[in-house]
Amino acid sequence: MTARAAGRIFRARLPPERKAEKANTLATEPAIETHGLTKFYGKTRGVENLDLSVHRGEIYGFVGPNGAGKTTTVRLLLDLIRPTGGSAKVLGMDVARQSTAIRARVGFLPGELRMYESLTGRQLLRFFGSVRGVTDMSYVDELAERLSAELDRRIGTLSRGNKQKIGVLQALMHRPDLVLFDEATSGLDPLMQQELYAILDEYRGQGGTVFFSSHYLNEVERICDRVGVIRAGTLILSDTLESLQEKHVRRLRLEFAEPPPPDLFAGLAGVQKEYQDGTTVQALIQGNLAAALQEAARHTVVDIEYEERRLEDIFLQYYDTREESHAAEPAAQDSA
Amino acid sequence: MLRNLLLKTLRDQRIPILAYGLGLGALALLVISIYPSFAEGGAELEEVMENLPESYKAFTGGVLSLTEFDGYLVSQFLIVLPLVLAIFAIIEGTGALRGEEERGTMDTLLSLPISRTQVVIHKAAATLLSIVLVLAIVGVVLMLSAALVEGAELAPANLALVLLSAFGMGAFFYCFALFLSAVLPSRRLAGVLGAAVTVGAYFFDAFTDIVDGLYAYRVVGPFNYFNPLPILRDDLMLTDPAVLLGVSVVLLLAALFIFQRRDIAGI
Repeated sequence: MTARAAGRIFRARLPPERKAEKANTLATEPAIETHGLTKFYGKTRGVENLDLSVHRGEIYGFVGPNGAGKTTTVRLLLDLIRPTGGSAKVLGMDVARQSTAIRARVGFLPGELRMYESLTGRQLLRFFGSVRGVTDMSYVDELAERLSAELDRRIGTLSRGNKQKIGVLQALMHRPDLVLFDEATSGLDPLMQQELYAILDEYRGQGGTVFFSSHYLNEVERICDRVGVIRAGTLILSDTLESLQEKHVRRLRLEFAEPPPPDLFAGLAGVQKEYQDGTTVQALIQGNLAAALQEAARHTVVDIEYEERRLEDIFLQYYDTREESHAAEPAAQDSA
Repeated sequence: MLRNLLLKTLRDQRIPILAYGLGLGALALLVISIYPSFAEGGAELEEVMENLPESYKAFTGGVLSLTEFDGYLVSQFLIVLPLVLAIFAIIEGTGALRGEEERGTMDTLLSLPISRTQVVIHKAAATLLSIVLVLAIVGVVLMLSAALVEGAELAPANLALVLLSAFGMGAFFYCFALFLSAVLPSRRLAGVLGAAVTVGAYFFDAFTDIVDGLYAYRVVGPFNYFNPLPILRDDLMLTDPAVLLGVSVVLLLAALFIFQRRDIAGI
């Protein structure tokens, strides 16, 4: 018997209390944790010094334009490619050493899902189910009905959207602890996207974690709890949506019955007056809306316009301001 | 049918198995069915064979007589058997890793709880089983055809050993292609190189008999280890298939070693 085989047997015979202790430890660790994760393809940077922490039970939006390093990150987490430096843990397990065990508890859906086109959806799901040890297909049937997936046609004859539905089913069929979605909603029509968001909401409600890589900011805003922004292989921001929105500078436009005094908002922290023209005042607000409104309410306000808080603006703001210096800077402080 | 990757791979190969098996079977049937006309040729045919140039004889599998059934079968059918198996093996071997990566299905497959070692082993086992099935079809057709044609005598044990040797050739070319598929950056390159090596090895083996100084190097070519004529003449040697299978295992392990360590190509 080899030492490795003996080691496997030894590990398999951990006493129950040790097993429970180990399980508890693993359950409290982040769903995804990377330290200095780096991948270079020759001289081309995929990701560099990526420090990610995705909590259990959250939907983490991983945002960035094409080529930013989103897919590289997902492929590193699945051990499809090997890092040049750093380390990654998924569900408390080391990606380099325990990738098969990790993949048993992870679902994966890429944007360009390629499947065995000669099989029907049902055949593919049975094959994947056999490999994953899924014997009860009732959950798959339920999801298939919700997504109106066509299971009895050959995958090669399906449209991209219908293939993607089969992809959703295979990613969730084993009720994984974590799903990695990489531009996963591309190809789905808006109704199906909404249904998928609902499924993911339920999945999160049951304790599941979603790593949701996307460049569609509206969907990230719709479903994610926290957001990481990656640019040119480097994480430039990681924070809750709420906190991001608070930090984001938004425009307030007020119409007064009478011209307000010229020193309106003077000395008010987080409020910067852009201009004042007669009865109209426009200011930039960063988190201190209440103080600005209190100050304005000393006068007769007849109309208010307050810029909608959109992730897209926050995203663009970060991209604009970090255009030159992003590579050398660490990610912004995570307030979560 | 699709309980694991081995069965799934076998399912994918069901049409090639039938195509290669029935195609080779049809060729065997045709060759054996016209044997009586060669046997009747007698002395004239023997004279023609004796007067053939040495360079031509090098491509007849060492056969000097077409009137005897064993020599006839080797020169007309068994000599092409490993070449046809090599085509099948190279297509499947290069498709197993690089082909699946280029189609993008390797990412999906390796997102399942299946190790890279399992992927290689399941695919290799399935394809080697496919080669066995192709050879089984060929064997059955050969036995049935020989039983129906006068003068065509085939001993089952001898034929089984010939087919084992042919399996050794198929296994070698599959594992070689798998190795190329693990090492080279594209399926096309692996396929072209695999085909070039196969054809080159075939000519190399033939030339070792007729070019002075090459004979000593014949042991490095795979076709040196496929000698159906002595087997059909009761020299039941096992060393040739043993060498081929041994080299195949080494190539398989090398492919496994490299595939476990490199990046999976994305689309």
